[in-house]
Parts: sequence; structure tokens; C-alpha cells
Amino acid sequence: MTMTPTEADEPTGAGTSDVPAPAGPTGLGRVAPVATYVLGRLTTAVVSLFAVIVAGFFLFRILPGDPVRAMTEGREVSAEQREELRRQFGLDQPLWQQFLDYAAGLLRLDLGISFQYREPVVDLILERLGPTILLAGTGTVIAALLGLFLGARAGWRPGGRGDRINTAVALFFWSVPTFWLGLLLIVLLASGRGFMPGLFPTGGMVSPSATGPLETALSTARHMVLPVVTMVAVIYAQYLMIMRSSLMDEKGADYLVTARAKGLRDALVRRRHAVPNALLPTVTLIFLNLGQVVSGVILVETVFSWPGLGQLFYSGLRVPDLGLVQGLFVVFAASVILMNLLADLVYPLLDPRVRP
Amino acid sequence: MMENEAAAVANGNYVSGFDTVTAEDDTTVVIELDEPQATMESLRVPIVPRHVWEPIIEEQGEAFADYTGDDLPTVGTGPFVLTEHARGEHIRLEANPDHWRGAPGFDELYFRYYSEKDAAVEALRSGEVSFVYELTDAQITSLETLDNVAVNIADGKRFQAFTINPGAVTQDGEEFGDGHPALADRTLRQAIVMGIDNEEIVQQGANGQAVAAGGYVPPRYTDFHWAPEGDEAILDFDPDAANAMLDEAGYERGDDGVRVSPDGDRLELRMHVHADRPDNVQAGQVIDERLADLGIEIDNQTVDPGILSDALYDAEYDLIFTGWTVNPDPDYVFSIHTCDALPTEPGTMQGDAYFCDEEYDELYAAQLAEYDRAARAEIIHQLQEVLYREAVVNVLTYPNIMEAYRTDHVASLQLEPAEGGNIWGQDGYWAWWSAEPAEGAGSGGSGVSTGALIGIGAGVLVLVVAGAFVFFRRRSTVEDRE
Repeated sequence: MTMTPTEADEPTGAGTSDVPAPAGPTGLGRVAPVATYVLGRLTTAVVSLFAVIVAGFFLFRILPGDPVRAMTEGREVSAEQREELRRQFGLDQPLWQQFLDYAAGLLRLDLGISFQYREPVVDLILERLGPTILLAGTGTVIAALLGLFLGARAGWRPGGRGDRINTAVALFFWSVPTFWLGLLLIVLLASGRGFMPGLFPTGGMVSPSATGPLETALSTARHMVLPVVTMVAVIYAQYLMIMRSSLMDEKGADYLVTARAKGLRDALVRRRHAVPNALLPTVTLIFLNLGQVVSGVILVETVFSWPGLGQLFYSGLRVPDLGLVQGLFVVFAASVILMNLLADLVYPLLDPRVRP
Repeated sequence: MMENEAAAVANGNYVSGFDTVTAEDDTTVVIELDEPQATMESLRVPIVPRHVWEPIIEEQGEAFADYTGDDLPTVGTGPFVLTEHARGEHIRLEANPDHWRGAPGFDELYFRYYSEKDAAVEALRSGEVSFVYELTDAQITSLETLDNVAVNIADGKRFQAFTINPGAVTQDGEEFGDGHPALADRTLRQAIVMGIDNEEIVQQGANGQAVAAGGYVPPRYTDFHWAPEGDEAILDFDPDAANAMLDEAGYERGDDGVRVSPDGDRLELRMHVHADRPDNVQAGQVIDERLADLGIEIDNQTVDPGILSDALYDAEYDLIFTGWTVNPDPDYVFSIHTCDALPTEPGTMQGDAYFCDEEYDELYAAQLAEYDRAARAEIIHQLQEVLYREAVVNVLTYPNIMEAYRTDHVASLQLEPAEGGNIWGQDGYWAWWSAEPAEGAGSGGSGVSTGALIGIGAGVLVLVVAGAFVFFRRRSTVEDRE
């Protein structure tokens, strides 16, 4: 079966019209399985989310350490002050009561209060969401494009020199500790040692002297370079490897023989016929990673002092700031579940073979 | 503060013991106390303008504790005014040209949060920032050789110690926890202290960047500091004497070389070490080895702070690490070892050692009531001698304060104290108020705007976050500022 992206759009259109199906017995006949499929996926997502909320709440509560003690460690606080903090955080309530309050709050999209920042967790998350999406989103898109491009080349001629070099390089970066790579880039490109000028900033998102929107944007772009490079270097291998193996599977397919028989050039066969089919498995991966974009790249954000959600989570875990970490946990999990759900729903549109 | 309950709790011990406060005239305040209280002489109560605070208290009432007070600009009395705060990113302060002591040398202070200290050190190297603090020995070594960087190694304000569980009890005398029973014996505790060489911990644990400890108060506080000398120095490092003491007290060595208490308990002791403090980890290893020489087996538990804290409050430990920053007025760090600091019920301890001693409590009360500084210092020396002798709270070292700044950004600044003093964490604003820009600072394309001084909040994030927390809430948690 030959399928180009344009051809794929055709059946997709028919598939999406699941609810207002075209009149006629065939249309009606299709609604039921599609609805069942969608409903099934939705139920799974909701159940997972609920499990995550319960697990998140109780998991963080069995973390060793008392948040109030941790926050007041080494400080001159009175017993009354500790009690007051416990009261403010609701830690003086029985556990079931805390959970009920928390669950009730969730229904109102209220994630509670951060212990260390004394602000609604929702506000803190919204404040950090932008920087994280900017950094992790850019990183993911570049890593995916780079990985898919190189993977398609590597998989077309497996075992060739290009494949060997590409795969080795990608796997090298994949296995390098993120923290180490980040620091190495800072030392090489930011600190201005020896002959190397300090090309990029060592951390943060914008320089203190930047004023006005244009300057701020340029400064942010400059601050993004090293973190994005670090992130792309570490993760692009997974796209490369999936694309590579997926393309190798497609390589022997009959439709490629047909394509070649038509007299198409090799590069054209790859681009127009093999790659679109091989892309399918990577869709799931991309969606899964998109879900994780929100959780950011904790290590990258920490090395580069990037004010994102990953860094926020890290700061919350140290206390432990229960309000903050459980809120972030729910948001991270929810975004993965949501993206998974989307992948489940979109996949049949892209690939008729898995349609219900 | 004295009338609003929430405000009183938030401000902790600032007004404890106050009976009445009256304004005699525009520039005189009279505070009457319930009883004499020497800490009054170094009580740093910020004076807040009534016309600013009164409406807030009226509006918030008992909800005062939830008031975040982060509307800018804030009202303050310092040489800089807070103008911008981006949580987890930076804090910007601008010079107050009308400051009564005179305008500061720099136009702006900009504090940047670094969640990775090594990156902050690189930022200093590149000239992106002007100042970094809380450095490690390795970081200092790498910065020392640079032309435009001055390294400042100051006398420590902090002590690193371990405490021995003497048998935890509540104020009512209820025993709890599972400390090793033999540790109730002072002879054993003293032998443990004699088996440890603080100088070795300075060398091994801190690469020489610390001072071996004697008393409880670090030497930078010259009059309150006490170190055992001559006949007082009964616990100097002397493993032979320690072994002899244990032999005599009936702690016999078993077949495996580990001693057994007269009650038949094997001397296998747990030791809880802060995994997040490298100097603690190193010190723990030294102690582990040295105590083996005495026939004491150590179960070295290098753990996260949370686990350590749980062990402490549940009294489920034998040896445990601790450390405090000591204020110019050391009252607080002594108060935590009075019998009043014992828990009212398990888990509620105010102190960190389950120490309770009648003589100590009497001395503690006496120093608090003594207004003559020399006489008070004498009592504080005696307090330290009791702590030393009882060997429950055992101070190991006073770690140095290590920081560095760019000399091409900052020409000069005031240390506190002037000799061997520190820059970051001073009592007051001397360093930043006195800092003078270097000739041509910021014109070298370093990205620093002219006249802007950039300090950075280096260190692990928890410190950074604590910094932010303290910034706005400093009067609600009364941080261990000095």
C-alpha cells in the first residue's frame, strides 16, 4: 500500500467525521466503534489522572522530613512560630482531611499554597510555564527535526559510514551526563578562559541591562543558546534511533519496489514513500515528549539557572514543599496523560490500519 | 506586635519580655521589661513607620500572618531601595540618594539566583557578575590565581558539631527514642570526644579551610569565645587516655575488638551525617576511623536532611551532626540547651541535643540578666565549659567563610569585622553601602552597566530559596541573622 501524506489526508477526513457522520447506514455503522474507542481512551485518561492525584498526595507525604522543621532549620524560631506555620500549611489537620481539602481544591483548579513561597501553587506554575515551554519546546522541536532527519539518512543505508558516525555521535551524547555537558559548555563558551571569549551568558534568562521588548527578546535568545544546545545534544538520539529502525523496517516493503519500478530516484523513494510511513512510530514519541515539555528538563534548567518549572520542582523537593511538589506532580502527569490521549486519538487519523 | 497575636507570632522573640513601650517624645522610645534581659542591647528591631503599617494591620487583622507584603516599592531604612523582584531570577535594588549616612557608591545592586554554584563561579570568571559567596575550597583555589579577582577568606561564624544522645526525655521526664543506653554515661561521651582529633577534621574535612574548635562560640567573637586551656582542657585529643578511661570504667573489648558496656551492650553506635554537606561527610569518615581505634564501631549513616531531622526529633540516633551560625549576641544558641528546650512531648524539641543540666540553666539565666558585658562574657565562658565537660554537644570546627569579587568592578568595600571579616551576611549593610566602583568598571564590554554592582546568590537552590523567603519574611521567621 502506498501512502503519501496527501493521500493519507483523505481517509483521515472521513475518519474525523465520527460524530456527525454522513447520513446513511454506513455512516451510522461507523459511529459506534469510534465513539467506543474515544470513550475508552477518555476513561483511561481520567482513571490515570485520578490515580496520579491520589498517589502524588500520599507519595510526597511519606517523604522523610518535616517541611516546617526543614524550613526553619538553623533559624531562631519559637514553638509558636512552628505551630503557626503548621496551621497555615494545614499540616495540623488529619491526613484524610488534608486529602479531602486538596481534592476539593483540585476541582476548583486550586492546587493549594506553596509552603516556601507562600503563594498559590497555580500562580507559581503559570509564572514558570512560559520559560519552560520556551526552552523545552524549542529544544524538543530542534531535537526532533535533527533526530528525524539524521535518522532517516542513517536508516536508509544502515551499516554505512554515515550511519556509523551518526549513530555513534548521537549515542555518545545520549550517554553523557546532562549536568556535566552543561557545565562543560559553560566553561568552554561562557566563562572566557584562555583564548576563548565568553560568547554566551553562564545562566539566567535575560541580562540585567536589557530594556525594552526587542533587547529583552535578543538577550533571551542569547541566554537560550547553551541550554538548548545541551538539551538537543542529549535527547536527539532517541528520535534518531526510532526513525532509523523504523525506516529499516520499511526498507524491504513491497511498495518501495513499486516506487522504484516507477523509475523514481533513490532519494525520492526515501523522501516521498519510505519516510512518511516510517514517521508513524515517531508520532507517539513526539507526543509523549511534548507532554514532558511541561516538566521541563530539570537538569538543564538547574545547570543554567533557567527559571522554569523543572527548577521550581527541584527547589520544592529540597524542602519538601508539599503543596508545590504535589501540584507540579499533578500538572506534569496531567500533561503527559493529555498528550498520550491526543496521540491515541490522532494516531488512527494518521494510520488507517489502527482504526477502530 | 504586642497586641496583634498574629504579628507577635510572626515576629517571634523580638518583643518577648516587653512590659510596656512608650514614646516619650519624637526621638525617644522607652521600653519597660518584665525582667532584665541583656539581649536588648543587640536587639535589631527594625523601626517601621506607623502610617505605613497601621492600615495594613487594621485591614488584615488576625490575617496578618498571611500578608505577603510584596507590593513594590517597599518601605525600608537602608541605603538601597527594592525596585524589582522576579522570583527565582533576580532582585534589583536602587541606591537611596537621601540615605542619612550618605548615598552608597553604586547606583544599583542586582542579585541573581544561580541554582548551580559552579556556574556562578564561571560567571565571576567571565565578569558577568561581581561577587560570589559561600564558595568551596576547590572553587577558591581556581579563582585565586586570576588577575581581576580578589578572594576573601573570613573567620567563620558557624560551628560544625556532633551531638551525642544522652538518653532523650521530655520535660516531664518521659523517656523516648532508642539511643544507645551506654551514652548516658558521661565517661563514655568524654572518651568519644578525646578519641577525635579536630585538627585532623580541619585538614581532611575542610582542606584546612576551618579552625579546630574548642568552645561553642567561634573565635571571631573575641570576648564571648572560650577555648579550654591548661587544666580545663580535659578532652584534648588523646586516644591512649581515652582507651584507659574506657578500660577503667568497665568497657571491655570483645573478641572482635569492639567494646561492651558494663551493662553488656555492645558499643555499636549509629552516626547520622548530613549527606548534603561535604565537610560533614568527610568529618564523619574521620570520626568513623578514630572511634574504631577506641573499640567503638560506627554505623555511618550519611543521609538526606529530612531523614536526619526525623531521627533527631524521634531521638532515634546515637551520634548526629549539627551546626549553627552564632550571632553577635549568642543568647539563642545557648537557649536551645536549657531544660526548657526539651520537648513537651516527643517530637516537639526546641533544641537539638536533649541536653538538660541544672548548673547550665542557672548560668543561662544569669547571663541573660547581666548587663555588664565583661561579666556576661565570663558567665558565657562558664556555660561553654559546662557544655564541653558534659560532652553532649561537641564542637568540631569553625568553617571559614569563602567568597570572591571582581577587583575591576569593585575598588573597595568594608569587611565586618575589619580584620578577617566577611562580605556576605554581615550584620547591617556595611559592605554594599561602602562598596566603591572600580575605575572604568563596566566599560570593558563585560555586559555590566556602569555603576551597577551585581552580586549573586550562589549555592544550592535551597539556600537561594531561603534567601528569597527571608527577604520578604525576615521578621516572620527571625532568621539567624546576627
